[in-house]
Amino acid sequence: MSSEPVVEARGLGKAYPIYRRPEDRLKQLVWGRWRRFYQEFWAVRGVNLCVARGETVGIIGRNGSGKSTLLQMICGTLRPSAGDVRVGGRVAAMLELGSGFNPEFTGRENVRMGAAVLGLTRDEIDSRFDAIAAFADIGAFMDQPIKRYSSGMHARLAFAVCANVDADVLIVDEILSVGDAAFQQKCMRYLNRFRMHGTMLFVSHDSGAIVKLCDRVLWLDDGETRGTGDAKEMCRLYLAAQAEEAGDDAARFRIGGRSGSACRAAAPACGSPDRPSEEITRVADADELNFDPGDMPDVKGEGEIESGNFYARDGSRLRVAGGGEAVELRVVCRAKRFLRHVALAFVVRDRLGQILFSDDTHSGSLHPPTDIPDGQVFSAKFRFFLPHLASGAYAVESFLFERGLKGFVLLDRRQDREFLFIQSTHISNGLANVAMRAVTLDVIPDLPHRGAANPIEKIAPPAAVEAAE
Amino acid sequence: MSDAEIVLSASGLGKAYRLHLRADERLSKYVSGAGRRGGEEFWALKNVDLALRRGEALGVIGENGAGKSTLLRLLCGTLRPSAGTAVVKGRMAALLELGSGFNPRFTGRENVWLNAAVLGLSKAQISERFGAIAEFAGIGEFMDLPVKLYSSGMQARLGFAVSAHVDADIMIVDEILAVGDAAFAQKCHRYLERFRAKGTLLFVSHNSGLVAKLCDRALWLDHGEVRALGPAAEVCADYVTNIAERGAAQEIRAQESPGHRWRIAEPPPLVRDSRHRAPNRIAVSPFNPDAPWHGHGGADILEVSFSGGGGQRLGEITGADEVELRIVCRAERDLVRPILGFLLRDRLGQNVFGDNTYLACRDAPRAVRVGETFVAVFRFQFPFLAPGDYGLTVAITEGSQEDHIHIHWIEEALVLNALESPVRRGIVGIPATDVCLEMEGTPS
Repeated sequence: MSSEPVVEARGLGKAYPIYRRPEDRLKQLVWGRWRRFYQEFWAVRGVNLCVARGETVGIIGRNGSGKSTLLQMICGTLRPSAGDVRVGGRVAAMLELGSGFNPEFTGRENVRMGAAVLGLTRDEIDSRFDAIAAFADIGAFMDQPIKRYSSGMHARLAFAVCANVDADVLIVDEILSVGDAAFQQKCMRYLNRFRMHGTMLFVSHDSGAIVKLCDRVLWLDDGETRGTGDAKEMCRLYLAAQAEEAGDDAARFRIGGRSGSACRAAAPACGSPDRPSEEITRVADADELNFDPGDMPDVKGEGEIESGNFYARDGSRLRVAGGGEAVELRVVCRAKRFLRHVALAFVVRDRLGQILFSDDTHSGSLHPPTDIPDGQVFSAKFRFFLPHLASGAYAVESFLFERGLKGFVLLDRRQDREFLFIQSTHISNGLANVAMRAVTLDVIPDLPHRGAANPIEKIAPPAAVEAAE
Repeated sequence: MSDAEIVLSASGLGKAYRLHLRADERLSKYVSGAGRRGGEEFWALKNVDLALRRGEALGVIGENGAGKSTLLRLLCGTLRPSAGTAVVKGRMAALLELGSGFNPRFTGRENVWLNAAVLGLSKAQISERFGAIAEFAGIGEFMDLPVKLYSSGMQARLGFAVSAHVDADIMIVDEILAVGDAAFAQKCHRYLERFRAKGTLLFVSHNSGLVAKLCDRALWLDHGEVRALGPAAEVCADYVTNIAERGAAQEIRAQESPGHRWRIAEPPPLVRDSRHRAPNRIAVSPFNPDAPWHGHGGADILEVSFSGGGGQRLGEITGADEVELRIVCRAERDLVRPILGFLLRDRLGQNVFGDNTYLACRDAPRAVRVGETFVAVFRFQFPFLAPGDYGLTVAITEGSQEDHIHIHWIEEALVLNALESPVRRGIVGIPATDVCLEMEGTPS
């Protein structure tokens, strides 16, 4: 991997004049450079940023901290007042400010225009138009003027164009929350693939998405760099800063402790991405059903998954769950020839497209291998207790394998078809919360004086007040 | 209730547009003399009847393009109805789509003056309140820059700040909280909760959980027509079910505060998956009070530990073990509503699972006096974790779930390391009660 920076900003800043009185504006016109009647306001000041090829850098900060201004300067829609920025390669940007679409033109016209601006030739646009339309999936609205689009359709089209122009650098500004569940999964699949080779700058208030997607994070505060470094570390410091703002007594606020991962000072640094494979987290035995749902070969056919639905314990279809209930996931398949030793698997993905949990019929071989006659409908049933997931839509993906001489061969895969909706009743926003058997909060009657060496050992077990139920 | 109390009403309200034709179609129609008005009529909103009483909060839910924004614009008068009428009594502050109501060329300051004047405030009132508005918005120097330079978050901040300071009788809020950062969302929330006590609120959101929490009644729009109007909790539940039933649904966003139906589901029975022969060994470090922490002070976390049934501290946990997590604190001042909680985070910093004492104590808040030591105990079956390092964040906060201050918050108070794991894919392992492969009928 080349360590040459793809995006390099040095001392980047953007200043706007602020006129305290309207007449100052006129005076300024008259006096020109001789006198100054305005104050300068720096929306962004002195930002150094160096992004290596293949790196994903997140930008966090509160509203008005300069995130959008910085992105606009990087993608060239705003001219910096100080410093310079150099970008090597084609930049595709999904910005909330000025998506580049003309509201009076139709989607089709805007696609052609947008792609041309990004440097595609007429032939290239012709050959890719269908792919863009398929990705956007907005049907007949393609021929309606953009001003008639809902915000979701607008985002779909913008993403579809950006995803099909062979961008070297992708700039994404808080756009992941638009579109329906299937579209989000599609976007996340694209972004995860893009991250393998491309460079990405990413702005979001969703710290879950930031830590998941970004190698490094730049934290902007009042237009200046408050820190850059490890995503987790920066999000932690940002959270602490928000906590400080939420309290009414800032003077009492303290921060301390030593962190394992060092937080680098605000200096340009070209980190080299170090991203371990996330899909397979364990080296499997030779006999195991071992597959990487993120990188699957084409399906072979010869067997077909017809559905993959959740059912409640009473046998009724479960479409909305609260979390924690007993469920059965039933994957129904049909054999198109005699199948020898099949295995079925499923994965459940969250809004970011990451796998939360998964299971298959082969692991541990509780049940003997099954041979399936031609034309036979068969199903795998997974019974378990659903974790307490955060509210939202979850994608259910299922896989059908047959065991061959060299291990398992994928016959069919079903994705973007089934979703489980969670209307959470759980208090935490964890990815997969567990149910508590008991939660208690008690005052300990008489603990010895302050400064006891190891207080916990002197505590009698608390009276079992099971307040949770 | 008498009619006099109704502050906002609509009857048979509707809005129709003509669909655009492609240029060639338009030409052929023009040439053939079929009229210049273009394509077919499209009703963005049709036949809405609505009556809102003083002090009521109505939520409007529906998918993208269901007509929510159209309804609000008709009620505000920024759009002329094609059918029916809308009547509004009182001063109405509306936060419609971003940027509406602002002149992008004017500065934030000028727009505040303009908007407040339009809403009927006198010059003296505006200058008196300007400071409060600017403080609520919290956009600093941007106040003197043209609004066209604002990000959507800043526009939302300014819009909300003006609406919150014009003594509105009716407030219309359209999806605005979604674009702000967490701190601002909390501030808006606090304001809306207070506003509800006296004013009339019309709240539009995709987040049906939020609607159920904030509103008394909800209106569900579907393709421009009223699908349901009734108690918020019921309508929202139906709405979510309906979305799910159609499979490929539109826009359910992750909702972090589902609101109205706090309950702890029945904890599942202990499940041990016999296939997980490889044990899930998880090493647990001793409590590290010197890990990164922050907070406003007022209490100290003294000890955090996992223990088994017998109360002894565990240095190692096995996935699916029944464990107790104990967090011991000492109060340095009187605490009214302390909440103790934890979060297990993975290597990247994502929240895997967590909980807190808010629910357990909500109905009987436990006040703690200065100098007292108190302990929170969480008993649960430890899940299977994928291999890797995890940090256990523990915290004591004060307030409520939505609005609280951090008293003492320790990141990575304990470090857990899953050494061996049966989890192949994903974040956690779900112990299965049963897995089987079955034939369905005979081959066709």
